[in-house]
Amino acid sequence: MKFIDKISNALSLTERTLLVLFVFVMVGLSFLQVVLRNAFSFGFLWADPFLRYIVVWVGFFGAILATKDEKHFGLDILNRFLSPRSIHAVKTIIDALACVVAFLLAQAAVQFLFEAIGPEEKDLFDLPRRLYFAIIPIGFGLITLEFFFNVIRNAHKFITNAPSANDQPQQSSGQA
Amino acid sequence: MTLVIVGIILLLLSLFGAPLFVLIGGLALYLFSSSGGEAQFIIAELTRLNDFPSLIAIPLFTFAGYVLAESKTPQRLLNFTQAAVGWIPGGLAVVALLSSAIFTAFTGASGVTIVALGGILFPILLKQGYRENFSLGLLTTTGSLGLLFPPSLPIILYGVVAQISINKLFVAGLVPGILLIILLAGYSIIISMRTQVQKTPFDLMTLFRALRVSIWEIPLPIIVIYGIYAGLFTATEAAAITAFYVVIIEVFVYKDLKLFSDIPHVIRKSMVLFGAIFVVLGTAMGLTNYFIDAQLPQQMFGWIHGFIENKFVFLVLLNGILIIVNMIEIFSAIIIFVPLIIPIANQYGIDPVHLGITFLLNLEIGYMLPPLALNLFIGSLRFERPITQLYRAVVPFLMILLVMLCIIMFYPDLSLWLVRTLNVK
Repeated sequence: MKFIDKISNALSLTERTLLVLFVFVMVGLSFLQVVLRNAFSFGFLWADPFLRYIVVWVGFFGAILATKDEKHFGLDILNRFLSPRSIHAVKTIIDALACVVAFLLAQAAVQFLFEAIGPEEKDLFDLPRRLYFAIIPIGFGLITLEFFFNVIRNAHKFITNAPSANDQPQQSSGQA
Repeated sequence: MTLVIVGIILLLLSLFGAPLFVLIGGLALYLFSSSGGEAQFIIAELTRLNDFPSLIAIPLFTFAGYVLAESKTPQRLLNFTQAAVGWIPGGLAVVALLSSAIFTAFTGASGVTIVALGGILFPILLKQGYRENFSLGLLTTTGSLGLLFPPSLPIILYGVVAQISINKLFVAGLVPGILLIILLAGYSIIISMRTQVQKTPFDLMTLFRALRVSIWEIPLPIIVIYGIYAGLFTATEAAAITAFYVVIIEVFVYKDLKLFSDIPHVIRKSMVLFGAIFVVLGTAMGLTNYFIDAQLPQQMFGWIHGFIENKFVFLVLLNGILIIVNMIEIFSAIIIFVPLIIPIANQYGIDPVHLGITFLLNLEIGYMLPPLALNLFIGSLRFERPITQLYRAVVPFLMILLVMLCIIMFYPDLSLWLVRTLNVK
């Protein structure tokens, strides 16, 4: 368990750092663009397409952290009637399934990156287009990994019969 | 037949809390592979999100809303509205309605209004002599009030998904939104006159002091709303201005939040919500595209049209279904259902902007509809009252919202008139 938490925490630190960096860039650059456009009728041509890529990167980092925090949207109605121990069992099965689907999506993303985009295709700043879309396989890959960690954590809780950490109804939304 | 079995399995998994994006992604993978397509098409569809110029408004407004929620803005907003309108009969209830509407519009109606404003207002309402059930119902309702005003997140998401102008939706929501507040305020004033609650005396100095403290936050709704209505900037530009502005005032002017310790924390919290929306949006792109290629909306229209010819009957039935869906899940309902509903509604001659406002008010009701709505759970936790008491408490307010929904359904001009008059693009 400790080993998994160690990897998970190290990954999360990197993800959070990158996320914060990207959001700072997103907020600063988009504001600068509005000021330039409205006050000086000027703007960086690269800024809008660049921001659109940033949004995709931010979205995936958010999704990875949502997986870690178990904050994805779900209905979660029947779990309210289960005992804490059966919740761990149900969560283990659900997360295992989610892990498989996320893996298949990651695989599809790798296929997309290497088949649909040519190695010579360039985008902003003359960088390969594959680089900008690399977040899709990376994102789904890390989501797969987080689901895998969740499987082990929940299975561990089921086996050791640990008390449920969240018996609050967590219907949706990112509110803590 | 297999599709029915797959559907039942998916429904069961979702009821046991499987993430919706996993179910959507799984279904898309299954459909694409069983029709001989390649899984990478789903990813190709996801990359189309990169072509949505207004998508960036979602993370920017979500972030700005969380910054406001984590700072002392709720308290300042409350002090100001109380000094301004607290003296009228039923003043405190009206204060609750107005401040919550503004706050919810900016924070995206994710239950945070009840936590931040409702928690402060509840004891004050009781102290002034408002009945407990009235106060509970009022505050649970205010949790989603303001959803029709810019820059509320559900409006933007609807615009992105439906691919219609967000500015049009912002303008269209104004008249129905104000009318709803007037109805609720009227009801609150009547109730407060009957229960003879305490009045807050008007004091110019208090108002002046509250104004001076909130001087940096008051321009925010004015800039955003005026800018959008006057056509000075787009929703995306308004988002960029808002996000930047709130960081500057909360970090450097009010010093409620620290740039290097609090802001990263707010970023993480808010982007988890955006990330959750983003993956549902991304995986749903492939699925809805599959359905649209398979002409599912046309088939559904043909089937429904066999029973229902009148567009208003259709609208009523649609809203009946949507209210249940919206009670259970909020953001995902927009992402999954809107692309399928719009083509059907179009065939009935329903304007997508009118449909949008109907959908959003429906969402507002879904937020507080017993027995499963999110705000009931949040309210029950925040006000420390059993959820069954909240079920009873929301009933009169629920009725007012349902009446408003009917008015909006049957009078499309209520939503569309201002859009036409201002000639919004």
